[in-house]
Amino acid sequence: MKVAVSSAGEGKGSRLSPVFGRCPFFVIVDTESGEEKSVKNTAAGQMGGAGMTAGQLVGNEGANAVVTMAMGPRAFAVLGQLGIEVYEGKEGTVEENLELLNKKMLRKMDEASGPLAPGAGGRPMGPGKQRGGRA
Amino acid sequence: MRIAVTGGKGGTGKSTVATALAVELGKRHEVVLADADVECPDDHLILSIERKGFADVKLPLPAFDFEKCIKCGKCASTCRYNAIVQVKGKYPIFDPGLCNGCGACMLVCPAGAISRGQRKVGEIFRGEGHGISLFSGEMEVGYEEASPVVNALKEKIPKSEFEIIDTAAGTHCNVISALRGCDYAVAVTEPTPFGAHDLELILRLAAVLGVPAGVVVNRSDLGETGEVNKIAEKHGAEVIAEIPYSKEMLESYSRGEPVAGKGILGIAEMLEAMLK
Repeated sequence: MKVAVSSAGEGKGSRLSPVFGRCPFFVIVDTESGEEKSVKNTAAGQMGGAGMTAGQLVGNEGANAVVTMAMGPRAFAVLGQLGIEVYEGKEGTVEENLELLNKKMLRKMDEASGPLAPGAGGRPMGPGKQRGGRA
Repeated sequence: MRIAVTGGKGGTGKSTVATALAVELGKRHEVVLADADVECPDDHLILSIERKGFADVKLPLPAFDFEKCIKCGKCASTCRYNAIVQVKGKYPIFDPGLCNGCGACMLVCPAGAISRGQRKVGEIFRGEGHGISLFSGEMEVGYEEASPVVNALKEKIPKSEFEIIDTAAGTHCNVISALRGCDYAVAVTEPTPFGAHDLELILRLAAVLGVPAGVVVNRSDLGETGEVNKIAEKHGAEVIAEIPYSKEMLESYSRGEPVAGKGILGIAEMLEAMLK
């Protein structure tokens, strides 16, 4: 399966990013072939609704599962509609989290981690809530 | 004639002046008072007028027909508010919470799969009392854009000899929407540094919008009027009234009874002369 992991940098050795919608990168790994790809998260700088766009991005990369630490309701709803499962990662590298996932040691998220961040509503707004500190 | 009662600073007495003025003019003319402070309308309480629902304010909301949808993704790439996302080969996903009602998605869909639904963003109430008609605008709590409700209120009020628009505090879009197209703006201020600072801002805004303005100094005996007089002069705005603090007025206002003193009479006279 293809797993998208929210990441602070490029490559499996990077730290897991604590947020989904505005993490700097996604590291996408095919667990069968071992193929690895790092993608810049284009949603990170946009005015509201980053969770929506980040969800679209990982969907377009063909991910079946996502590993992250915190996710808002919009992203959660989008991934749910796309049939992509979300797992709660732990502090550490992307690689370490993939190993934990493989050993079924990561909890599956059955609801969003936090409340809705302010929407765009037609007005430019700064980056949304930075839950868990800056990535 | 359409007159805005504004001021920038909150609590200077905009609604007190707007309601008192409306009632005074209402003795001799046809008057409509529009409460455009749609986030927290209070005029119906100041005048003890019972409001009844008059019209809903609605904004367009896209409605998707997935049977017609060809999954081209044009709606998602067009939406400037990131309210629509689409993954290749799947149907678009829409979040109404981010939707601004611009309608762009409906225009670009090549399959005619998006139709114009609606969503209620506010309500307009109507009431009569003290010889005037009151139209009160109120936004849906939690919705972020006041301007559509202010604009709908201004459109819905019947044409009248005097249309008094009681604006919100501040100089933001809801005040801009309220001030636009008015024939005159009465800027209510107070003789304090805060009053002076905000008066400067509201007079600059009125100038930008091309609305001539006059200044009313409320609670004029409670501070130094020098500063606000200077600012009024700087912007070519006449100080049309100075209203001293009056405990009697405050008590009357708290009881829901309209108040009128020399100051209000003076403003009414000036506006009646302008009407002719």
